[in-house]
Amino acid sequence: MNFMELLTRAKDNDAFALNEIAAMYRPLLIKESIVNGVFDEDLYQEQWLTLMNCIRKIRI
Amino acid sequence: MWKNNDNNEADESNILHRQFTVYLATAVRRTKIQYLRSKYKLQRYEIPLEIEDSYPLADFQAEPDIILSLPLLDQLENIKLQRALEQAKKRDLYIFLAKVLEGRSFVEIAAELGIEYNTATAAYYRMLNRLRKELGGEDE
Repeated sequence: MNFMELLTRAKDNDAFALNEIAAMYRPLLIKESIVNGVFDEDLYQEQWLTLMNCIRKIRI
Repeated sequence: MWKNNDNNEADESNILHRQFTVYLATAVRRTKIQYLRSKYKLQRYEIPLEIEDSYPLADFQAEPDIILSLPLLDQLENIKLQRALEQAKKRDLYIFLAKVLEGRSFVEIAAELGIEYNTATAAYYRMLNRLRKELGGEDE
């Protein structure tokens, strides 16, 4: 399945597609959740919300 | 991640993938900045109380030399005033201080910064109103 299909399905709240995308971008979210070398759990949650928002908002 | 099969659909998908990655990376970075900013804001309101409690300001007054060697904003003893000034825009603050401390005219200040006379006065009165508001503003 290519990314376009994946994203389209994720937009429709398809669990498999969401999981795939989540796995793909987890490292990025973790990287951007580290403040001064310390992992910030609250920020990490915020980043997940950001990811969900991006999936919802991006136009295909 | 996916092989480019030289057909249009794969290309489009790859482009979309890249676009999404860039979009997400920007959004995520912005989230981080906003998160840190709101956290930092909260801390600013917490710290002054502790400082006030543990170091009475009277002690600092006993040694004026040390105070005078600090940057201008750190010399202030009034925490509220300091906070208000620090939160102001840099340019507004500059205009305000040039007017109040150095007693220069708006014409001079405006010429130096390359702005309109009205802009300088507006910035000055904006700062005044702001300080009145922040400090409780009894004196008009």
